Amino acid sequence: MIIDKSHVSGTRFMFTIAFYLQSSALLTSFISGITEQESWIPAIFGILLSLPIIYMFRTFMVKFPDKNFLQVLEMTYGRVLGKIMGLGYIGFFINLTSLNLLDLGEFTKLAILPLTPQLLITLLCILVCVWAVRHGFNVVSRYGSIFTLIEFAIVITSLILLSNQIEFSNLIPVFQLPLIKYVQTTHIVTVIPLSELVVFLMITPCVKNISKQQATKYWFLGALMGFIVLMLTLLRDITVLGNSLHLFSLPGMVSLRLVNLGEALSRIEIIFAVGLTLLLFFKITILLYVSTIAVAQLFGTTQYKNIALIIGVFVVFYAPTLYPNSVAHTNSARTIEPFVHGLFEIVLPLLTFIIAAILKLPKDKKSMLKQEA
Amino acid sequence: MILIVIVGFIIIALIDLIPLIKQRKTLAIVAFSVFFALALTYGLLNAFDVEVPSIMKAWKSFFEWLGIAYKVE
Amino acid sequence: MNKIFKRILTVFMVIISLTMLGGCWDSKEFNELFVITATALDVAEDPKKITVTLQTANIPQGAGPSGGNSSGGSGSGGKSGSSSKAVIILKAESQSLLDGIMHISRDSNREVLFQHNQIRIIGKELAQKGIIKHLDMLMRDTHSRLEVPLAVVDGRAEEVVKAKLSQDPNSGIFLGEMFRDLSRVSNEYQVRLIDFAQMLIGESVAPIMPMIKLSGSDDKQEIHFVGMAVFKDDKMIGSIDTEETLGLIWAFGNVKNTNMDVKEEEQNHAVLRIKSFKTKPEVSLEKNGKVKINLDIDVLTGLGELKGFKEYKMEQLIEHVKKLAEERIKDRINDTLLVAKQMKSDFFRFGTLISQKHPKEWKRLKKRWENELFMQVELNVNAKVKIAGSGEIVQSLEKEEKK
Repeated sequence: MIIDKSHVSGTRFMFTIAFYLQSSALLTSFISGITEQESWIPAIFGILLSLPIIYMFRTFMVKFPDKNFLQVLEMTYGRVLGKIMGLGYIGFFINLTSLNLLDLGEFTKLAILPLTPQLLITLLCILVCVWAVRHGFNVVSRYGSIFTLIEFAIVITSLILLSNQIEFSNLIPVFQLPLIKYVQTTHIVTVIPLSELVVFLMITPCVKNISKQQATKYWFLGALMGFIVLMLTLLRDITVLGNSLHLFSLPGMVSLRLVNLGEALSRIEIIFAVGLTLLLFFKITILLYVSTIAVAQLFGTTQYKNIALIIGVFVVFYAPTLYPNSVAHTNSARTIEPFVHGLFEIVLPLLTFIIAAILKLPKDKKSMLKQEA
Repeated sequence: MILIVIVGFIIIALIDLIPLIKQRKTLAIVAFSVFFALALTYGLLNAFDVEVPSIMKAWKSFFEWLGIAYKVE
Repeated sequence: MNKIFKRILTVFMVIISLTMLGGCWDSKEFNELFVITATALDVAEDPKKITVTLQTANIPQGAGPSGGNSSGGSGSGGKSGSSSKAVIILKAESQSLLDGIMHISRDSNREVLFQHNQIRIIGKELAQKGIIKHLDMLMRDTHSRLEVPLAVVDGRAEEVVKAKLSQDPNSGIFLGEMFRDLSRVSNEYQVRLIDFAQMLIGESVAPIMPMIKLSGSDDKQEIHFVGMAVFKDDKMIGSIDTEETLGLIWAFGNVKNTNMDVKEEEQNHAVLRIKSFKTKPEVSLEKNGKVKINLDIDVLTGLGELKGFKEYKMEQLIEHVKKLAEERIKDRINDTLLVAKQMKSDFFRFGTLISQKHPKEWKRLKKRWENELFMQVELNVNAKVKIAGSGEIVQSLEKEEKK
């Protein structure tokens, strides 16, 4: 049963992946708080660790090109168990949407509009996201391609403008902290943001007419673009802020505040604010789309357009109940979320993958993606 | 405040529920109603300033019971 | 019916978005603001409190006899009603910086705007008592900027804020520009809040901050840069003068747009224009914990001014001045290091250098650094000065005259 009949090209899919990863790159305070100046090492390890996981996602796409992830779950585990796991995944997607909405709300409240009620901002954001979702994935992803390039430009510009304040000596010494911190940070980097790409398994039915090689190419190229932005941002923050990095809740914002080339080119942190808003908004739209498709899949209906709004409003009211304040949010991101998200992003897909391989799914080999002729 | 919430939810029902009823898609109506009820509950609780227990806390207790969790600095 | 409904909905949404996202809640009108140009912190009579003095730029309200809008606190004493005062001084005594700002806002008809704060100055007495608790608000608040320079005043900071300078009516703006100019010479002259925070957090490093002094009286006051204040943790323990500061900035390198003077006996004097000054530090550790630091210095200069040196011919003179310059750099840095050792303050940041290059040994040596090992640091300065040009004239005028 195909829920969303829109088609997107493989390139657009690739840019969507890249943009999604870039959105997570700006929120590096989860990582930098633990390993401080050495955060670039676990970041590299995290990226390497996530490569096989991304390969697993790509294989899901190759084997089940027309089925979204919940359908795969039903095929693998049978109807009842599949639907129960699907229910778990709906909870996971809605949770992700809420967390990102919280990020947007907190950031706007902190830096841009301190006195406007947060609920109003999140509600307005969700309303626009819902409007995009109702028009299908085509519209949702259309915005991503251009803004990926704009984000790249922003990151590179910020690097150039900060070049006189970069001190490479801030990157050494290395391996001076207890091992558990590196493990923890690598775990965090692998799970948030890189394995959040699992949500794209719900979107794969929309990508049409690609071959096996192209699937690999699009997944990994998109991921590569995201990795580059992640590493550039992290390196920039570490080299500019040095040992004060772990104090800040938004290191990127602080780095951009310090730009001071002459008198005219200062206070450009507004670029960061605009960039972050664009990225988070896009991420929330994708997550809302994925949640809506998942709910429609679970209940067996194709009318996802009509349930988008109510799910969105639910997320608006559900999100503030998750954490009492932003400190609890950051703490939880460092301690609990790696495990909770890891369960849904890595463990369960891996299990499904193994069982599907054992059961020799898909039964119908013709539906798999073809080799390029 | 509460009035705004209730009016908002009525508008949502008008926009989405009516087309669904016209097209008689029962499963979609069921899905819609489930989330409508959930959203309405959370919305009213928010409007009345009632503290809602957090799901993340439940996950936290679960993982700490299992024994795997990182310590907070 | 549906179409009209959709149109109404769209218009409704647009109106809501415009009003809500326009930031109506957060609007600040210009004539309701005090634009702060300088912040000064001092001790108060009550030992638990501090004196917060804010200097704002007076924005003229319009033509006609402007009586000045002195609201809240002590005014800066403008006598004639027709000349508008350039600054308004706001003062409060409170337990903390944020408290002080709240008191001032409460007692005035305008809100306080920190985004244009040019400088933050701290009185010497308060610096000696410790300043870390007052910096917390500045780092936490989104609107106070981290790149604002800090300075210690030899005296009371509020005097500087009230000063009527002959160069600029607003001493805050004057100081901001002064430090910006100094930072073009060397980055070490300008200590921003973020630099100070990094030094505080750094490995066994003594933070430093520029020190200024007010002199003169009444309408012709002047502010001078008199050196750097040296801190231990967050309490000021001493200071170094401008000569000794030279040693410090030469040790860090990257000095430009300034001069270096070289003397020999009484009458021979040369001034070299520094075009580029690069310092490369290296550290080597010996087994018993002794630290050897080697500074490789490369300076490119041009001859700026020449006096005396009668007995030398021109090429030999250049060589001679070169050697004098090299010795001068060496002596100056070593002297400043001696001063640092006497104060037991590692403001050369050698501690950070060791922790980066030899992290494992640093872990062992860290505890002994401040009181023992720093005192035993052996410094070797390798200076290479190159004098590229001699300016417009080849021979000195003095020599020509004597012929």
